[in-house]
Amino acid sequence: MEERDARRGWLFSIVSAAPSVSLFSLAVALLTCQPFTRDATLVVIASLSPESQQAAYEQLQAQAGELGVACELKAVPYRLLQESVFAFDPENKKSRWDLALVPASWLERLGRQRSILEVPIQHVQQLQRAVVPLAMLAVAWGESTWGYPMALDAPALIYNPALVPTPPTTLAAVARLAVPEGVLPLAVDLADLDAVLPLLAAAQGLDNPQDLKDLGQAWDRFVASVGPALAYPGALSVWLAPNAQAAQAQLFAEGKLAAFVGGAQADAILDKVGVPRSVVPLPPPCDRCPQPRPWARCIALVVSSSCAYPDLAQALAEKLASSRRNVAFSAATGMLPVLGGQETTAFLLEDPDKLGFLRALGVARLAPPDPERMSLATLWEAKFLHLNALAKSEAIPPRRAAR
Amino acid sequence: MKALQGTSLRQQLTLSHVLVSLCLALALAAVMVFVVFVQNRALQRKALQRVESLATDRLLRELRRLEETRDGLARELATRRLQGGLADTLFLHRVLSYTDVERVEVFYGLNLIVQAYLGPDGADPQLATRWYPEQPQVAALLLADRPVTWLQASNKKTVALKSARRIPSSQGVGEFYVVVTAALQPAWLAGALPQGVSGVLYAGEQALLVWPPRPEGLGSKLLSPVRLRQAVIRLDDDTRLEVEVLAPPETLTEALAPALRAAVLVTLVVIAVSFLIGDHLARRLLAPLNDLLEGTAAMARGHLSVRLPVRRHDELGALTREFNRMADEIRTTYLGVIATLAEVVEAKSHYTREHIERVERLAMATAQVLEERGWAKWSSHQKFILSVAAILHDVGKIAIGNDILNKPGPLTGSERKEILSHPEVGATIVERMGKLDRAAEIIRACHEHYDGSGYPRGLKGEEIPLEARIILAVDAFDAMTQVRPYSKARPLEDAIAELRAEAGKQFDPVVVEALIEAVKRIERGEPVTPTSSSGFFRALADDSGETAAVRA
Repeated sequence: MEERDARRGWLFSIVSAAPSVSLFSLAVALLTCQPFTRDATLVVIASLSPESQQAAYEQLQAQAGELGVACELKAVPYRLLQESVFAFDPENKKSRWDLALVPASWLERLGRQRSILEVPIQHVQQLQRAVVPLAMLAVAWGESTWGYPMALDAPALIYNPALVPTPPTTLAAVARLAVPEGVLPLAVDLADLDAVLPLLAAAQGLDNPQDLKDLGQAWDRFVASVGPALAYPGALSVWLAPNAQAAQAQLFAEGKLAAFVGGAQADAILDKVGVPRSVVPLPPPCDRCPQPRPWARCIALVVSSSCAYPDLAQALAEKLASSRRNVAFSAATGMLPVLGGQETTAFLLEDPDKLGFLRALGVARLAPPDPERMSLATLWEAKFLHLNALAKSEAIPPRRAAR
Repeated sequence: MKALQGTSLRQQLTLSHVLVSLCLALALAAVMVFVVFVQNRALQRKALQRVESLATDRLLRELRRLEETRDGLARELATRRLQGGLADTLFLHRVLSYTDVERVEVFYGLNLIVQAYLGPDGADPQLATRWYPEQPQVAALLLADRPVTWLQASNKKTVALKSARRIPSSQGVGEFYVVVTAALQPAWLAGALPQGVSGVLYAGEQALLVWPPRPEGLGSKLLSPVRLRQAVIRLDDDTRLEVEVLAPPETLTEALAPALRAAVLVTLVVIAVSFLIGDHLARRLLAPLNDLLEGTAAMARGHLSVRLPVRRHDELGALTREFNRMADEIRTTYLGVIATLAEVVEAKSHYTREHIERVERLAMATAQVLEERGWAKWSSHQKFILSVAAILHDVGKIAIGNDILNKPGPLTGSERKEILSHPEVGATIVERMGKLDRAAEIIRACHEHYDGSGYPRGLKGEEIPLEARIILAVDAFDAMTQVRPYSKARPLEDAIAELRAEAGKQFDPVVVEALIEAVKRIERGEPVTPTSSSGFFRALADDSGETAAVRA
């Protein structure tokens, strides 16, 4: 009997201790485990169209879900993106984003001001195995890698096979095409430095835009080759406007344009309206001109140096860049995947247009990093403004809509 | 309750204290969390009202901007002769570069003649204006020369806000209308929504825009989100645009987390403190009960001198007093019996009351000396037992006939045998009194000699209880030093010499030396017994008048 009582006493002690022990454990868990109070949330900032946003967000969410992290996508206008990523306070080391989808050409400046984190060496090795070399070169600066390449693009010539029966060998040939009344033979987005500067260099007989000394002379030679195509009343001002790509795509879709110089993003507009088209790498401006080598465009995910969860952010970016998800993610941006390998090739082969852009990427080269690129851009800017002034002699709406 | 049967009263009291405290702490914590919850929800609601107002303002601003763009475009287009060719498309594109709309369309009547759109959103064919069959009432309003604004929702991905008006005609060739289109931009909401807050733009009950996108749906958590909904404007297609903002439950959970943590900590501290206090109180409360328990157990073991301190003045104090009274009565009764037996022995033998008292006192003094010299250690009960044994060491003589007991001459064999049996008889008598087994054992060995020549069992050395060895020596010493019917009193020195002579034979040498020391102290008039009331006669002296009467 006494033994039973003693056992009951022990049992009682354990039972009475259980609530205290469990409460103590709970308290310790509450005090020590941050995940209870707040899950890690990564804020991704990007300049994407609403539809692209949704697609990109789905990919981000899916990948973040696999990593057990919450993800928020902030879509902002391009200018705001620029302001957000470059407005970095080195004193406070604070930014309102963890990851940003930016052009790779920004990486050098961002890296210099230390507002982004360098890609860890193990990620670089993984990326090198999975990603095409051009993309890796685009995100490298000095001896370091500063971003995770996400998508690639290169200007090419998109033409209407109904109006241009054979693949054009020169732009001059396209400009001289006998097209019906109300149809433009060729359009060039003159604000697209990645295409224009290589074209001007080729018109000057140069291989590299960095060798351009006299932009005025190069422009004159270029106009000598393709000038008739740009001479339509009111057209020049449109090709100088920021929405030139959209105008080209619309005119092309409506059969009012035979060919234009554009990238995969412009092609995405045509996908919407389902216009038949062909894509070839940029032909030389004239017969004796060398093959222009356009500058490849690359967008990359960068991790803010003030990110609270850098490991998670870098893991997310690495997976998006080097896993199959890159194909879907890059498609959301309207560009080409950076992923090499059979799956990507198969994806590109499904669409002949994509193959054309892939060939354009084959002849493309990386744009020189800032400040060389900036100095060339500044040179072009002067010419651009001059052209704009000429174009404005036409009737242009004087009033800008208030915003 | 069965689980509590094996537990001590202290544990039960402590547990009940802890449980009561726990309940109070939990109730307090629940109230605290509830108050924080209510306050937080109110704060969230207040914050949401500001967010909602901001989102509404932004939407209205976007609407105004769209309408201003429409009006500006109409004015520009009024100066141009529209034919719908390439030049018009290029013109519209130049115009588009100055606006923030995705698409501009110019209608002649309700027939599209030229359009320009930005891509890829503006290029979506779903954004092209469709009058019939979707918007006949809007078309009617437009044709009635009213500027109109309406929604065109083709599918979930493209919901467009459209605004149209007639182009003021200076050409007189018909009615031209311009329609500007802006796809609903998540940025319209996103710009107004702080992190963690969701927004939904409704047209009637249809959610047009949800930001941030939430594939898993809103408000599916345990706690319902705080949500506010407000109408922004009624459009011309009778659609009412409404903005709803939601603070998801996670935000509330995050806000509540510190309160929950504090509640758990408070509960934990309360439990710890209540356990300590409860245990302390239980100890204090149960101390008299424990005393009573120990006292009762001591009484059961024969400790007749037990007396408990009365520490309280409540029921437990009364119980302690009653226990003491009961213990006194039992002790008095017991001591009375012992005293009676001592009287009988006196009456039976030629001993005097003084002899018994002397033996008892000298035995106690000898024990004291032994204790002082570190040769023995006595508890008060052991001293009491020694005292009782000293008094009753010859109680067995009750059973021996007076003729044998007081026979002046030599005893016959049978007489001697009867005399030698008196220790056993005495031990048996004392045993029957109960609780005095040790005293009986001492009495049984009171005539055993150190060298084993004694009786009744011939024990020797350490086999003989120390108390018995003391009583034997003391009894012999007293017999030598006092006048007896059959002998004279011997001088003290002779008696000591005799004791020393018999040390190691009849007596324990250690006991002999202690006895001699005790005798010398008595001779010098020094106190030899401790002040404690361990002796029988002291116990009697401490007793009530009734006991004193028995002693008299």
